[in-house]
Amino acid sequence: MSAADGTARATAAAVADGSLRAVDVVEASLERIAAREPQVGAFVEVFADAARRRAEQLDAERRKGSPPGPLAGVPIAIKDNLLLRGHRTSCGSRILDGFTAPYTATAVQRLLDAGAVPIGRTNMDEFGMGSSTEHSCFGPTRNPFDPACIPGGSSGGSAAAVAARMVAIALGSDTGGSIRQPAAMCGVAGLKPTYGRVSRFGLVAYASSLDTVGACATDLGDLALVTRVMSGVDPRDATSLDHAVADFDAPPSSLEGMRIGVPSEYFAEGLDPAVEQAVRAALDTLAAAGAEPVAVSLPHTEFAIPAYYLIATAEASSNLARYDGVRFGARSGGDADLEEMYTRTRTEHFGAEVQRRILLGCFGLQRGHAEQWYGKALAVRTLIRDELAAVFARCDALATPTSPVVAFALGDRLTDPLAMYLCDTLTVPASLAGIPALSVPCGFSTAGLPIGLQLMAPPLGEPTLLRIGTAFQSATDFHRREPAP
Amino acid sequence: MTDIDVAQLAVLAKLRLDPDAAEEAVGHVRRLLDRFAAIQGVDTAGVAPSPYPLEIPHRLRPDLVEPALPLAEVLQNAPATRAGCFAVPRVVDG
Repeated sequence: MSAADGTARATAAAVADGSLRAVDVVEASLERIAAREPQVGAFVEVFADAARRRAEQLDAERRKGSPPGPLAGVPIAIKDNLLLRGHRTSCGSRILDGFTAPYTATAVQRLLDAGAVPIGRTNMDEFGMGSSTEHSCFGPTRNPFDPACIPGGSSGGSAAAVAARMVAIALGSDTGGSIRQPAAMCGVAGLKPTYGRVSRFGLVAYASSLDTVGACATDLGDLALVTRVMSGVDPRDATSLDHAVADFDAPPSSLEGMRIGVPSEYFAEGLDPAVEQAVRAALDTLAAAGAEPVAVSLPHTEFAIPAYYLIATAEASSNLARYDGVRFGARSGGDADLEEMYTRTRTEHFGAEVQRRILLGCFGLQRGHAEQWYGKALAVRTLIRDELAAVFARCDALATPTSPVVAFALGDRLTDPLAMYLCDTLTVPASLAGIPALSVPCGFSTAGLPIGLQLMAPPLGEPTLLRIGTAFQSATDFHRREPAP
Repeated sequence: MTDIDVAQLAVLAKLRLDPDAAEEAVGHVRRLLDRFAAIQGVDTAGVAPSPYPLEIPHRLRPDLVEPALPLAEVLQNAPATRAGCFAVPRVVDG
């Protein structure tokens, strides 16, 4: 077995006891990237030299007796919207052309402190705005299971890198499903933590009341470990939760006595029959493991897409006001007047989807419209969150499909924003409610494309999700299936 | 059908839309809003808005001066600088 083939935990343990060198782990990952990257296009930059230097440093520190961290020598890919000091960050946008991070995101720093090795930054939809990783100034990422198809998005580069076994763990961000949906489409696990569980300091903002930092992995023990390491209050993020970090990576236990809600609204029109079949079979598997499926109803689910897109675009129109050609990134019209410089910079460097969402957000916040659109969306969000809370009073978790469809062909939905937005139908309710949600592989379509099972729990219920997910993976092998080379 | 003043939106967004782009953009935005209009029928009387998903208590911290980025690093990504400041086109005469 080469160094890059094991779980991150096994790799870290071997590096810690000296049976494996971090430099060999990194070299194996770089070799895998070199072999698979031309077909997949998961990375926008590979930090080959920096990763080798860091691995040498970790090996030297171990020889000197420094205690290794729980992620010692583990290569980790980082979505291109998380800052790593001294490296470029572009969010898939031309407007951040040339931007070098002056500091490191807290989530990334905690992984560095645990011994992880950043191996590169992964492709994404511009500023996280997309569900296919086609809206990137670097071009699209391709699905490792079928290069003619999208990998999902916006963390499509991270999910594809894990699916192609270039890395065991990749960081992503999830605003409306941007970790879970690509994880489902690429056949890997993806966890969106509770809102505030992981600090957003150093995450480039898209929609501040929705943004979360999480990860993709093939192994749920690895996913639990990396999420635990990143979690915890951060003085630099006022929205981070001051709550004890649970033992996410506890050993698996029985699902006996656990009630899992199955909301009928998540199996509605528009759901691919292959997805429904796989998810219903997964529910049978969970029942066989001891869980009790419970039929529940969440009638406001149909309003989640409008509420989400009105809130997210409103917040985006405000957050992206900072890109004006003054403090960082690209500038056009520097010889013109200030207003003209702002307008030319933004018009010439934002992509079409970002411009569309800024316009939509400005509309929803406009004087005379704000109460009707943005205000209404915030009230609907309350109804969706309260409805979920009521269901969690009698269920430990919910189980649904992650995406209504499997990965579609590149270009299929690119010119139809509404069709693209509807990809997020089943992931945005958890985002609006701030609850944790996990996607695990639960099957394949007849064309061999992965299908994901979404599990949702009340706030801070990550251990519950990982317990259910681990029980499911103990009984199935979908997570072990690799795409053909 | 939702009434959209695309010229005003472009001003608010600080984007320039040529006539073709404006037509396409307003078409997309209108189609989305027509779909999103379903929420107008939801009864939200007496429902408090949720700007944030969870109740997060406000934390206070001591009002102390803490280390900040050195000026050179603050300015390193700026398209133009002058005398330790961000440089922009002249906004006042004189």
